[in-house]
Amino acid sequence: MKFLHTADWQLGMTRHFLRGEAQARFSQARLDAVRSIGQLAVEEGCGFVLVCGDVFESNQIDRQVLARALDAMDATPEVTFYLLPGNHDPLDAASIYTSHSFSDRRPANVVVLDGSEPVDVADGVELLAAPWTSKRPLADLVNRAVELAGPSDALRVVVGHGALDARSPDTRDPALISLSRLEERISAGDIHYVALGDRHSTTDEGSTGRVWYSGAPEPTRYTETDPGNVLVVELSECDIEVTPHRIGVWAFIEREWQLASSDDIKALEEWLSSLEHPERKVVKLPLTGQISVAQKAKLDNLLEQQTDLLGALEHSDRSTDLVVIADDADFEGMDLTGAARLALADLHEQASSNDEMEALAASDALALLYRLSGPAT
Amino acid sequence: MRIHRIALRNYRGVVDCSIPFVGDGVTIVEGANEIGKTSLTEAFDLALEKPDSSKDARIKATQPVGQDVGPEVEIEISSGNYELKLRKRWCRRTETTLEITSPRHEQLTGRDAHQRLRSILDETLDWGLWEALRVAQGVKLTLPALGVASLGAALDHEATDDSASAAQDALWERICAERLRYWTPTGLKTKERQDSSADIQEARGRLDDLEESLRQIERDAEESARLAQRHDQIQNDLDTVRQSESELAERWQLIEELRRVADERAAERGEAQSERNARNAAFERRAELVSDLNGKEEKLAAIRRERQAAAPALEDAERHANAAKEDESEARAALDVAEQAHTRACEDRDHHRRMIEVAQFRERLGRIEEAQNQLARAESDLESIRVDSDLVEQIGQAHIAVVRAEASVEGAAAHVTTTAIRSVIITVDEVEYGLQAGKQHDLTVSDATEFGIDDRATVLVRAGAGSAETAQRLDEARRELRRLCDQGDVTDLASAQTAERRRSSAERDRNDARTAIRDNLRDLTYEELARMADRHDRRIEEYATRRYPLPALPDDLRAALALVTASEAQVEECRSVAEASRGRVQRASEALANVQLQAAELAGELKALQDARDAASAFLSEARRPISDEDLASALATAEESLELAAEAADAALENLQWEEPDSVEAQLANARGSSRNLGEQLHSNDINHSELRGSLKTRGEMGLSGKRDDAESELRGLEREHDSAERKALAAQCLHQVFDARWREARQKYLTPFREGIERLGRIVFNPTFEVELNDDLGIARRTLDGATLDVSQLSTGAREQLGIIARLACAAIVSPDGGGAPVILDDALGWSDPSRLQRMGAAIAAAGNDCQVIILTCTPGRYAYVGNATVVRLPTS
Repeated sequence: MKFLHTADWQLGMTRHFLRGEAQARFSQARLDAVRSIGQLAVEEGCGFVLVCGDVFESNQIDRQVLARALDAMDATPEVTFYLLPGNHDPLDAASIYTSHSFSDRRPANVVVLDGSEPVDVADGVELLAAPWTSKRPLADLVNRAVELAGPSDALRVVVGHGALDARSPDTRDPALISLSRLEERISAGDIHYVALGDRHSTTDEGSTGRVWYSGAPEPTRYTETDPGNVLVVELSECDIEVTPHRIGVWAFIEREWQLASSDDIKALEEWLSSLEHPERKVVKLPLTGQISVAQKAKLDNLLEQQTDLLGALEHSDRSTDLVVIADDADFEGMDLTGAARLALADLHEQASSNDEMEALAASDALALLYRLSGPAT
Repeated sequence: MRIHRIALRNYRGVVDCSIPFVGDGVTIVEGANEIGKTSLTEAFDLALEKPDSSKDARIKATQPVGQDVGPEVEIEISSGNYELKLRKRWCRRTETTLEITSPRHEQLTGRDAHQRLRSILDETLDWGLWEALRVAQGVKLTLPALGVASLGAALDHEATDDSASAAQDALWERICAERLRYWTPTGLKTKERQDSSADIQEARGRLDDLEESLRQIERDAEESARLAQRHDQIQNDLDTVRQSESELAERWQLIEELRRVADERAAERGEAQSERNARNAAFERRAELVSDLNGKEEKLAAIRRERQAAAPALEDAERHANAAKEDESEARAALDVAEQAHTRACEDRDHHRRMIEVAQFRERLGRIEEAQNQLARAESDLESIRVDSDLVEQIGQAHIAVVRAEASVEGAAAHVTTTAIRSVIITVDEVEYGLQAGKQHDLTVSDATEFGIDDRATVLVRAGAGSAETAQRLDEARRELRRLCDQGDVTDLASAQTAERRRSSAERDRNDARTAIRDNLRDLTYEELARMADRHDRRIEEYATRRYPLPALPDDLRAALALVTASEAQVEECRSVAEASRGRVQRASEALANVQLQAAELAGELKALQDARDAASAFLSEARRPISDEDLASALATAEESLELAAEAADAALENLQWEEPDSVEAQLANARGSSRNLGEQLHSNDINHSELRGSLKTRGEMGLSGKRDDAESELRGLEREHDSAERKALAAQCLHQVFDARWREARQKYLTPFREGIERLGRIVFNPTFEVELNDDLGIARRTLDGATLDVSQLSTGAREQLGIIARLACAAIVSPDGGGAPVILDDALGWSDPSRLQRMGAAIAAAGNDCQVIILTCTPGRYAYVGNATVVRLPTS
């Protein structure tokens, strides 16, 4: 029995650092991923797709996003998508799954796992779902679902969402999923695969090889270690094969750069230029070091250009991280004499002040002076 | 530039005139009005500005009237390192020649000459300075605007030796322009920045609203879950309560049946009780009737006994009453007799009293009449006597005066004592006296008396000196005595004294008579007293007539009074006896009435009792006719037995009912029904709320609020990014502007120092060593300080402003003039507002400035500049 395991689509998510149409591209990529998943399922001969929670960013998303998502799933009608309500889209009174928009537009190949009764998905194959009915459950929903199901001879796939206790530092959270209890059940042959969502990085949990987080099909933040995958699971009672497939086209890259010279700035420029599909890259540059006013002007120019090219570019502006030193050489050839030269010296002094605000203002003022003193553009 | 010479030919009224000027130093050109003084500067200007071909009206105006010649000007100047001589003639035979002698020789004519001149001047002369340093005649006096290039350049040179000021000015302009992109000139945020803040606030408000809406949805979703849970709880409770209600209803049905039985038994007992009560009442009524009849018989016997016992007492009382009435009649008769005797005794007493009073009245009337007579006599006497005690006193005094006067006369007179030896007739003042022998005759002569003895001799005796006067006083005394005696109608002192005693006596009589009349009249008049006496007489007579003769009238008042007293005692005694007998009669009557009343009451009571006894007896007989006393007792016993049986049955039924706890079951059942109803209502309300909430949530879910929230947040973030970026740029622009502004201000102050010092150096000559000025950025004088008082130049007097203006020009010229640069200071009849002492000091200042620059003074008032020590004076020839 072969199926596709995915989770955390979080359709309708907005990243506020994405400016202009980058957000639209980002959103479109996430919808495209849904189509890709359907196609992959077809290609891989998967009987169905399990989406393990957080299908939507929220129960209150724009209904247009919902319509497009259902449309994307409808593109591969031969594949059934089983959607599990998660913490972002719980099955509460405001649930998107009970909304008119959903019920009116739901294609036949889309099934919401909204109960605790085992769901037959194929001969001898059952799904044991643990949907979230509120944002703050007070129990280990996954193990409870397993317990409620009672004994069966079928191949049982548990569909759950949430953090495993082995990973969470907050041991007081009653909703944590006990990995050991799951593993006991697996060992006892009560369940055969646990498909989990919530963690955006693809992860094989525990020692059985049967407990997996698929990860998000598109990355959402810098801290995710291996996002952008879905899992194709081939399962039998005694054997399992889990194969990750990359679906995601966006990347979140955080890289620290230490700048001390024009060469460093050039290296940064080269690195940025080397990024493929820059429009799908979200780059964070914690910049440190010490550069001159002229170099800062050049850097600013570079960052400005790259901001237009990249999906998003975030960088630190704190003067303590990247110190701008006004070098007399910066202002050579500008004929600054007398009072102007004294004023320049004053700005140099202020720029090295301990008062961060004052130093930043002076540093910016130096850059401005550099610009104003230069040839009119 | 220096002007070395100006020559005019055929220029206005000047035929030919050449004026030389000192290079660096002061040249004073003196001349009367309208002899070409001002023409010098005008001609110089035209020579520099206008080509010889110019048709300018100003040129034409310089052509001499009525002469066919062209006005001609020749000037020699040096400017920069050029030295040149220019000659121009306009209008007729126009001509321009320029000869440059340094730095290399050049000779030009016509247009070339003019253009070359202009190019040299443009190169070497600051036209602005040239204009600024001139004080023209009649032009409104203002402080010069010395922000001219050459002064700026000179100051720049002094201050920083900086040759890149133009580039820096451009930079400063860009800094200011950059600042104005974010700040208003007064340092406030620009409208765009303020709008940006407002936009952020609005966007944040929208985001907050959306987030609150989303939070509300979350809360409502939780509330919905809670309502669902609550539904289950209520439904569960309702089921339990309904089960309990059903069980209790069954028990209640059984209790209802038991209650019905108990009620029936209780009703039966009630009936038995009623029957027994009726029997008992009939029995008791019969006993009461018997008892009542017996009682009445007993009372009747007792009253009869009482009547018999009361009969003797009634007879006694009637006897006592009659005796008392007889006694009372006797006593009253005796009292009448005694009262009549007493009345008569009183009338007799009054009769006697009146008789006495009549006698007294008559006696008083007699005394009054006597006193009236005495009064009349006394008053008659008093009228006849004209002497009173005062007059007697005066007569006494006069009498003494006469005696004394007589003594004086006798003392002073001649005494002639004649002793007759034989009897003789002596004549004294023709009065003859016979003097017997042996007898003496004394004669006192106070004046002159002729004395004769017989007819034999006459002797004239004269008294000594003063006797006449004494005699006169005696006459006067005697006349006074006589006058007083005549006044009192008496002869002498003795008769006066007698009359006075008679008067005193008459006065006493009169007073006594008045006292007697008053005492006897008392408060009556004589007539009233007489009438009273008459009235008494009449009443006495009447009583004597009226009185019954027996018993006889008492003899006198005393006897009458004794009779009154005796009769009065008799009356009192009789009255006392009568009162006593009346009291006895009253008591006896009351006692009799009481006894009679008691007897009547007893009779009435007896009658009533007899009637009641008869009625009771008849009633009892009537009652016994249908049922006898024995039958009544038997029926009562039967009813009591029936009652006992019914009570036992009712108690048993009630016990059965109580065993089932009807009150408790009833309360429980009511409670269960109430709870059921209550829970049903709760369930209904809960379900309605839940249904509404779910409907609301579905509606709100379709609004896609999280998408809107994300859009709003993106918008806010974008606005914040733009805002932060703009703010950062604003701070940078502000910082840059502040730093440069501070440094430029500082530099400007330094830059202005030489000029300010130059002004102050000259100004201290004119004013005093405390003189200071403050310059503005346009190199004008903003304020002047003198003796510690600082004034804005607009506050200064016209004279002081003019002086400051000249000083500023001189200082400016001194700074820009080294190395042949700058321009001359030209003063055309200036300092008209300065007083002589200030003129003297201005002269010194001009002289001091003249060491460093060229100063040309044109004046028609030669004395005004007499104090410019080192000046070269040129006098214009009179035309």
